[in-house]
Amino acid sequence: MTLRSRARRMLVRGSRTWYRWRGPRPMRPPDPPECPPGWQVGPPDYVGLGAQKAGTSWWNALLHKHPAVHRAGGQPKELHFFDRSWEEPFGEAEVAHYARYFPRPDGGVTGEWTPGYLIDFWTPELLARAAPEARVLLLLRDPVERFRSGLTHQLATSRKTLTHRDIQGAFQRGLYAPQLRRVLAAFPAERVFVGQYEACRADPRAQLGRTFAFLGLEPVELGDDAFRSEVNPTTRQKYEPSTALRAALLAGYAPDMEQLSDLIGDLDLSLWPSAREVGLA
Amino acid sequence: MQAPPRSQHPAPPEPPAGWVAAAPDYVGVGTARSGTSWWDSLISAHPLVARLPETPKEVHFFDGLWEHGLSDADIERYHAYFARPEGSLSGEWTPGYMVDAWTPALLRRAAPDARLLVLLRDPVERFRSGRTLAENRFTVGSTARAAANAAFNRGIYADQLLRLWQAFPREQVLVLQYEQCVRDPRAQLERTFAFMGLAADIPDTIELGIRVNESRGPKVKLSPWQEDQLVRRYAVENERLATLLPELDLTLWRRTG
Repeated sequence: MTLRSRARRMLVRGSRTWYRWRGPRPMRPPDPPECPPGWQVGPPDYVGLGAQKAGTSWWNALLHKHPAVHRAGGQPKELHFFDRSWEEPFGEAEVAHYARYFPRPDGGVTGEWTPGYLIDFWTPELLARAAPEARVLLLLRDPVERFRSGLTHQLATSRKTLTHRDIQGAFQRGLYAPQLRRVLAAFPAERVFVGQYEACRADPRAQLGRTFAFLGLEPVELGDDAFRSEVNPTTRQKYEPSTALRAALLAGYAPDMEQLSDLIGDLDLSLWPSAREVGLA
Repeated sequence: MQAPPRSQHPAPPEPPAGWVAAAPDYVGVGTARSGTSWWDSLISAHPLVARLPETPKEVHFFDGLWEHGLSDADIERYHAYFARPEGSLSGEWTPGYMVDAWTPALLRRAAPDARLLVLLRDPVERFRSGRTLAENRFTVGSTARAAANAAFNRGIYADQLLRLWQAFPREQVLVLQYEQCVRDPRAQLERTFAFMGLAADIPDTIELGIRVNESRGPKVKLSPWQEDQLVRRYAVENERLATLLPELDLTLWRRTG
C-alpha cells in the first residue's frame, strides 16, 4: 500500500468517526434557483408536509406529470427550509427568501414536499406565515407499516444497530394526531388534503385526480406507464418488528388512530390493517 | 436481523439475610425532569419502604426489551432488585417507562399488582429544564432539531397515559402534579402513602423541604418566541389531558392568553 493511499484511508476513517460522533448535519436548503425570464417568484401554491415513508416521493413525481405543475431547474423535492427554524429567528427576510424558491410561469403552479415538516412542532405555524395561501398535502400510511418502513430505511442507510432512541423516534412519527392538530391549527381544514398511501396504491388514477382537483388543476389523463414506476422502492431486506413489539405498537397506536379519525372526517381506517386489527374499522 | 442491545442495567444485587426478592410494590413511570427524584426520596424515607443499596432509583429494566419481550428469567431478575425485609415495601422510579410503547405491557407482566406513580409537570417548564435536551443532543447523536422534537414529544402526556391505562387498571395508577407537590408537599405525600397502602401520617423523620436533583444541568434559555410557541403548542394537548384527569389543575400551568 502506498503512503498516499494509506493517508487517504486514514482521512476517510477519521471523517467517518467524526461524522458518527457529531451526528448528521441538519439539512441546509440549496440556493434559490434562477427565475427564468417571464416567470415570477412567489410563495408556493402547495406544500407537502408528510409523512415520511408514506409514498411522498412517488406522489410528488406524479404531481409533476401535470403540465401546469412547474419546478424551476435544479429545485429538489424537499427543501428542508424550516429544519433549523426552532433555533434561528424567522422574520420577513426568511419569508421573502422562501418565496424565491418558487418561480412559476403565468398560470402555473409550484411547490415542494418535505415529509419532515410534519414532525417539527414549530413548522406548520411558520409555514402559514411564509405561505399563507398555500394548500397543504399530507399522505398518511398505516402507522405500523410506516414504523417498519422507517426502520428498514434506517438500517439500510446506517451500519449501526438500532438504538432505544431510534425505536422511540420511529414510534413517535406514527403518532399522527398531535401532528395533525398542529397543521389544523395553522391552516383551515379546507386547505389541507389528507391522502392515504394505501388508497393511492389501490387506485392511483382516482387519487391523483382528487389531488389535482384539490390543487385547483384541470383533470389530465395520464397513460398507464405514468403509474407503473415507484420512486424509492425498498430493495433491501425489510425490518420486521417482533411479535411482541408489533403488539405493543398496535396498542400504542390505537388511541392515536381513534383521535385521527375524529380529526379527519374522510379518513378510511379500514385501509389500515392495524386499525382493523385493533377493532377500529 | 440485528439483535437490539439489552438494557445496560447492572446485575441484580444479592439480598442481605432475611430480605426476600419479590415484584416491586410501586413503580414510578413518569416523567423526566418533573421532580421524581425528590418525590422518590420522600417515599424512600418512610420507615416501611426499603431499597437495596445497590438498586438505583431508576432501574431502566425495560428500556432495551422492545424486541424480545420478557422471559421468566427476566422477570426473576427484575424481582431481585426489590428484595425487602418482611413487612416492607420496595420499588423504583424510572421516568422514561411511560414514554416507551412496549413498557406498560411488560411491566404489567413483571409486576401485575404494582402501584404506579406518575408525576407530571408543566410541559413548558419540563422542556426548559435542560437536561433532557442536553441528553438528547448526545444520545440521539443528532441535530438540535431532533433533540427539540424528542423533548417536545415527551411533554405530550395524554397519549402516554392512555397507553398506561391500557395495561393497568386506572385505580392502580396515581397521577400527581408537580406544582401541587411543591405547594403542599404534606398533603400530596399523604395522598401518595395512602395510595401505596402505607399509614398516611408522615413520620417526623421525613424532611419535606429538601429537593433532590433540583438544579443539576443548565437550563435552556428560551427566546420569547420559543416560549410562546411551546405554550401554544402544548395548550391543546394539556386540554386533552385535563379531560382525562379531572383533578389536574391547569391554572398551575402556563396557558395562552
